[in-house]
Amino acid sequence: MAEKLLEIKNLHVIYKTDDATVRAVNGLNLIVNKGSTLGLVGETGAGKTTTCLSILRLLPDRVGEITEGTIEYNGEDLLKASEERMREIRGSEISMIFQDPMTALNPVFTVGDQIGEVVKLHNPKFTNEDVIDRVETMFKLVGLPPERRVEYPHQFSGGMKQRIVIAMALACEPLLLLADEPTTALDVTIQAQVLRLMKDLKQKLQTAMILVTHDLGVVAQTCDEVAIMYAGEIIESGTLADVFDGEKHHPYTVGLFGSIPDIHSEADRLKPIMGLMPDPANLPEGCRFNPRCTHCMDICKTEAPAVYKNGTHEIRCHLFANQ
Amino acid sequence: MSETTNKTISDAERAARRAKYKKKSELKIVWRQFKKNKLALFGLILIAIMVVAAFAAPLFIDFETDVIEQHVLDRLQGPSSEHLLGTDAYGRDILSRLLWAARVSMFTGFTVIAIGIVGGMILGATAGYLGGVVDNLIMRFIDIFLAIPFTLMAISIVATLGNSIPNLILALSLALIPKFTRIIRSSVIGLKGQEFIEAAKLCGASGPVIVLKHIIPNALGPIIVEATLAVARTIIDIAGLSFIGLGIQPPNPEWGAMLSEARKYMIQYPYLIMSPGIAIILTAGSLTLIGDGLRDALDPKMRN
Amino acid sequence: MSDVLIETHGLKKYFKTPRGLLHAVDNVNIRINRGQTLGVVGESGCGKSTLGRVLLRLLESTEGEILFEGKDVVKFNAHEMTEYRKEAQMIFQDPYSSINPRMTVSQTISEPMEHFHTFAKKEDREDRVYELMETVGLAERFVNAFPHELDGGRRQRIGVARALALNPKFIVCDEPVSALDVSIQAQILNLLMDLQDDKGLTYMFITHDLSVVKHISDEIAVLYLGECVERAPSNELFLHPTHPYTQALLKAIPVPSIHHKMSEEDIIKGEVTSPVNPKPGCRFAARCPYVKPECTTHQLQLKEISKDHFVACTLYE
Repeated sequence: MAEKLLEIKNLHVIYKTDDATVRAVNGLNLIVNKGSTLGLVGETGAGKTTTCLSILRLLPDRVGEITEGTIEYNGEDLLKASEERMREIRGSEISMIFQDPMTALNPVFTVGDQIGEVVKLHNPKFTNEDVIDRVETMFKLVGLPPERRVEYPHQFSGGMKQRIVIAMALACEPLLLLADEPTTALDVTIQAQVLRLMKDLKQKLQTAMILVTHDLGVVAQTCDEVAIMYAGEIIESGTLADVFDGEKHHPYTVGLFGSIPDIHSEADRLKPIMGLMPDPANLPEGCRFNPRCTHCMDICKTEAPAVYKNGTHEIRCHLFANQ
Repeated sequence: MSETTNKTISDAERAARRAKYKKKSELKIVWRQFKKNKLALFGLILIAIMVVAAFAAPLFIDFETDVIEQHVLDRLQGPSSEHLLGTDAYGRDILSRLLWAARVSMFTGFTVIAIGIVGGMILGATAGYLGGVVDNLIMRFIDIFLAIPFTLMAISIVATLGNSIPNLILALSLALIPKFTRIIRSSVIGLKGQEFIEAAKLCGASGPVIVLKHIIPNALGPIIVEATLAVARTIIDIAGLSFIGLGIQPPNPEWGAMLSEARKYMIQYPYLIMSPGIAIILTAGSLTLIGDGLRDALDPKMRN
Repeated sequence: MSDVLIETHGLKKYFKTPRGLLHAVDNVNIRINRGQTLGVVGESGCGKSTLGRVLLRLLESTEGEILFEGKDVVKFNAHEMTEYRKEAQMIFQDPYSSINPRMTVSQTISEPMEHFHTFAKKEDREDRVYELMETVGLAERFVNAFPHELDGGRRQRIGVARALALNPKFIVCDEPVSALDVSIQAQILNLLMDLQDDKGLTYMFITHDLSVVKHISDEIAVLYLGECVERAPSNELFLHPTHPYTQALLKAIPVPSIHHKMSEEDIIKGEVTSPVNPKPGCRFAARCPYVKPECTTHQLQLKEISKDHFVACTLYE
């Protein structure tokens, strides 16, 4: 039986700007089990990055605000933890990889120093030799020659930089890794290498992961569980088999799969989802997807749907109300 | 060779369509954005008051009697109903002198900036866009000017050409153009690589058109800010030059010169030094606030 | 009138860098027929974007011929270039940097018309802008909007409208959907295909995404470090990928299905080597699982291995 590592309940996050309040996350519920990889899928503006930043309480200071909800990590509510406790957690128990490896590294420090910084922060008793040891171990773990730790970020390619970022994130063997579109900026052959690496590391270190992506292919190859996000909430979730092979799906999920040009199919035209993501400052009433839904019913426009469960498979849609 | 479209639409329909989708005035948008910054607005109001006061000065101040003529009996008096800011060492009304000095400082300041911007744009855009040998030539030439300390250059110019307002403007412009050239050049280089410049080339735009239509409007942000700050600096520079006796010649009033004269009486009559000092601070300060506000207001990405 | 709209012979583009000569495009021969789409695929450093720009003379080629309707574009004088610009246009990759942020939608779309003096009357240009907006699916109300008010998908539609303004015959699409969300990608791809059917447009479609290219292309050319390593009709390339790089590329695509898991051997090792002063022989040799000594000794040529299917590899010489 899977053991819970992280549970997010009813998370609401807003961004306050001069003109409007942007509702980025609206009642999000998510569970990540120990050692498991959860794919968090959605398009731009769905709220995926905001969710990750909220877990680590890294939302922009005056603008971002968590208005409701709890984030339970190993029994502790992170939203109630002190800033000091959060600093302990960041980097050592929960780590994050950001999307663009080109800008995630500081150009004026050697890569060895940057990884070393994380190690030293969470292991103040380490001597310099201990730190260098750990850095070199991490380099070997991610498949880079340890001698290169004295080089600077610009001397590495995109794929290598992402490996370094991964090394940095895993240096203190965190229990949970938040990876925000870690391979989107990479070439597809390099992406394959990096995804393989992440899979191996996950097995070796038993790290749980939330993999944020819009690429269903990546999800299929690397994840154990999937949650699909739309306008700040999870509209479908389950195991990989539930979401990829299950019989019933949320219309948005169907639309997502229909939009992907599949190299194995012969379809002439793609079937995109009509319309655009809703403006998070101006969300529709009822089910947020209703303006674009081909199966929209009257009730969808007024009432937000409840979650319908079928074992591990959950769908937030009125279509499955009686099941 | 001209073509016409397939659709035929009446003039009335066209007029109705134009009215329906009116283009938002860029000025209105900038103003609306600018207003949101309270400090910038404050700066603008302050400068506006000063400019109006300086402009209107001849209406109630007579140059000869109030500004130049010495009234030894009235010297070094504190603020009173007759002389709102008091009188200076020669019995002249400080307020009148202050306002008159504002005219000179502002006129000179804005003129210098205008020359600086035009010169900087021509040199900077040319160097940045053409690159290569032209860039090198222009920038090395600029470097020469940047290497000469400003005061030294001002002194040399004034010493050889004489002490007058046009020469003052010349000296200050020569000091300013290199700085603007650098800023504009660097904006231009940054913009040159953007895809919309390539798109413009495909649309048939030639070099000069690209620079004027596509690059300069987008490079305005940093320049506007620098320009307003530069007005502030120029006014201070003028004051500085006058302070050492090179700028505006007495008995014409000038803030810096007034500061210089007030030095002797700093302890006993502090108001003598405070008035021109505060005038300089207020002018330079409000210009800086305006500059900041403008930069934010002009950046289309900062809206919403 | 020949079927072939544009073709290149021995096209090269080299850049001088402090470290040496960068072979961005090296001896590329392509041929696109009227109304067809050539997909150009490759990863970083393969030269596909450079190729597109050289074809339109946004960059000047180092050597080789570019024949547009039989005439060599490289030798065009100013007048001929002006005419060429009306016939050959480009849709850019980044919807955020390919449109002047200070110009409205209408100004962006009408710019080509202003410079080339087509639609001389202001009213005609105005009408044409609305017409184009309708063609690409941009609502009328955006006519005087600024780019930052619109999302990526709409901005890309502006780019498409701009490219169409002069009724070109040939459009280079430089990764036009890479920066967009999946559902918007699908909309724009459908739009491009509809336009091709309606107006008989010829496309060169540059992308790194193999699934997208299969959908829209009739023929595909695979580039690696400036050279074309394989060229074949679209379906044929996916059915019988022959060059080891093409095979690696296809296997590296994560399939959105839980029944097709990627295995260890599917993943090729190593990184792309430098395009500066490349060593003789096949440029993929350093990473190729089938490498032999002959691979690094002589230059490879594209050989036809089946109808219209060309490969440059020692395995097929």
